[in-house]
Amino acid sequence: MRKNYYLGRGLLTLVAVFFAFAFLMPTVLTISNSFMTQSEISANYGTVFSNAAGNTNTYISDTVNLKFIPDKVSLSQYITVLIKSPDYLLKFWNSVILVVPIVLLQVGVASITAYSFTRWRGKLRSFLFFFYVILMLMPYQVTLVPNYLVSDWLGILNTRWAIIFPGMFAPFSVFLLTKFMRRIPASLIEAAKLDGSSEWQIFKDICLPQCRSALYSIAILVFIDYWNMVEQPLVLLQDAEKQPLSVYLSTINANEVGLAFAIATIYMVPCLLLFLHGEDYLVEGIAHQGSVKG
Amino acid sequence: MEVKEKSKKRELIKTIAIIFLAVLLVLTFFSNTIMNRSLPEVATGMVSSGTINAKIRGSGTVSANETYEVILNQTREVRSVCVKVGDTVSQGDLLFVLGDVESQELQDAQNQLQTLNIEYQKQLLNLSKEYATSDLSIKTLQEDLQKAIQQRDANVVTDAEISYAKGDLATAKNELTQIGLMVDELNAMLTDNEEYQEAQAAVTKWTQEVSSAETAVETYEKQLEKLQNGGSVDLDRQIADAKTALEKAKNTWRSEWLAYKSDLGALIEAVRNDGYSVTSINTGTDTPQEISGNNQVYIEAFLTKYVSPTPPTTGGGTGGEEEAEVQTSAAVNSSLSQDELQDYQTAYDALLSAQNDVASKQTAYDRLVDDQDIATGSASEQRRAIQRKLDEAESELRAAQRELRDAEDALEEADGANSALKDQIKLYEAAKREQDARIETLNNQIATLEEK
Repeated sequence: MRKNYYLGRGLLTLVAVFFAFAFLMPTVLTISNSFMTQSEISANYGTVFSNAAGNTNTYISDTVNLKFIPDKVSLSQYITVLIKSPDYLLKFWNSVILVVPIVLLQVGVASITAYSFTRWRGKLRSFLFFFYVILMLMPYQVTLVPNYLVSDWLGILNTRWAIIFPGMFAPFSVFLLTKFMRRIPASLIEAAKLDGSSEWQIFKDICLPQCRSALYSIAILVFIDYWNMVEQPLVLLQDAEKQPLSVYLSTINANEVGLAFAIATIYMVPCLLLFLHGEDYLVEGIAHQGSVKG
Repeated sequence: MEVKEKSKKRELIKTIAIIFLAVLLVLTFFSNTIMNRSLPEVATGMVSSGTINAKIRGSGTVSANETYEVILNQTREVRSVCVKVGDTVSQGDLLFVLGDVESQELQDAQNQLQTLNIEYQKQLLNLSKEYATSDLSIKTLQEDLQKAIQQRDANVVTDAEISYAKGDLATAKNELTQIGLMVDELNAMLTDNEEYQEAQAAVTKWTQEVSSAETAVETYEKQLEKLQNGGSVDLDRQIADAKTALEKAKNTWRSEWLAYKSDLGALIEAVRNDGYSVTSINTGTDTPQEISGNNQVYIEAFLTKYVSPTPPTTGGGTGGEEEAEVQTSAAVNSSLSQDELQDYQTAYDALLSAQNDVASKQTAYDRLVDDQDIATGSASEQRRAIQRKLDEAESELRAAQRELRDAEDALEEADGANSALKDQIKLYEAAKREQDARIETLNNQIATLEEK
């Protein structure tokens, strides 16, 4: 019995380690390969990109070498990204300018919507909520074309507002926050109402502090979602100088693989930092999803 | 407390995030500045015209344009491979080491070598009293040994060697033709060196001037001496003598002219056809025409080029032989035969000597006539006049000497260039001979290789 127990645990650990390695490997590869020189990268990964480009020449090695430890550590890629030209950094700031307003505004709008969903007891409430859920389940590409048409009609097509407005009113956070706010006991709100506080005061002083973990988790998820968006800027923003860095990373070609590694490493950092900062909240927020009230 | 730890951690992460964003912000603004500071300084220059080269730069992976298969005609074992996949090689690098296939001939030759060696050793040990004969036998054995070694070496022959030898032969022949062309070109340059010829003409002219000026100075000094020692200058007889000599020289010139003027005309034609810029001489008239200094130079160059020197008389003995070695071979003129050229040479020589003779006698006579006025007047007047004439003659002499020096310098310069050319020609001819020898040996090599 004991043996089985330890065997089971050992096996589980092994499987967990295997999966952990499988998930971590791309990230570790990216970070460690960002310290390689371009020649080493093309020697190791040349076949991948050249075959994709349709080249029929044979290369030195037909297989791809996954190298975790560079032969020669060099910061040449980072120097190209950070110092040689400010292009990449400008794109980074483009990303930031797009994402930060979206996150802040979405959290604000969603919290208000969620509060109204909890407090409003009208007939259409369930229908509207259902509508929101359906929207949340649809992939973004479904609403892309209507988005484009509406943006064009509103005249905001080539501006950043074309991305921020739809982002502001996304239904996912509404859903999460409603779920969370429903957990607040109604008696609390009634008591506050009796004491003469307005709706806004109830919202600000009672609901929001309770929902802090949920707000944090929503912020993180939304940030990650919009930090990585590619098709929205491609379609709705036509100027090249407004494109965020995610778009650039999606269009690397064979010559710039090393550069892409370095850019990806830098691009990862804000997400990582945000996650580390609000880790506990995130775990709490997701754990509370659908768990027992209280 | 856990909460404190968590908040500490959060603070830390907040700090890190702020630092990260701050660094990126700074780099966004100042990356170009930092980049420019790390660039090398450039120098500015004035605008100038030049050519613009259009260059296209790209990057990619280099692959071989063609592969070369090393084909061996015999099967040989690869002993070791010295390079590996991905190495960069350059011409001359060792790629792999082959093993020798020991042929039967090789084995036989080696065996023979061994037996002969043993025999040689035996002979060394059995030195007989007759040292001479044993020495001779040692010598013959040594020769046999050498022959056996050579045979062994020579037996290891492959078709590749024959083809290499043939290739070498082809290249050697090519080089030979190249050298031959070079030599011809240089020879042409040598003879066409106009500067040299002009310089030479100037030198001859000024030498003559210098010598005549010197004679004038000498005469005046003598006259002055004579005067100082008493007595007047008696010119009348001298003038009469000079006049007769002059007339005689003129007659000789005239007769020579009548004899050789047609030859001279043809010679001038031939020289012009050869590319020299001679001025024409009127050979239709009976009055002797002067051959100008430049013409002389050109004609002489033409004649030295084409006229083969007459062989020295056999009575000269060793002296004659040395002379014959010093003379260089003459080129061949397509339109004229050697006999015609010889005739031209004689004509030219005769005319030129007659002309020079007349010229010198004329100057002597003129000077004497000039000096006739010195004969009149008192001794002191005469002395003064002669002194004046002497001073004039001396300054003329100095001027002529100066000019002569300049002309000689110019000639040296031109000669310098000429000598450089001559040295080059010598080098090339030596190379040619070497190349011929090389081709010989290569031919022999190929013959022996093919026999095997």
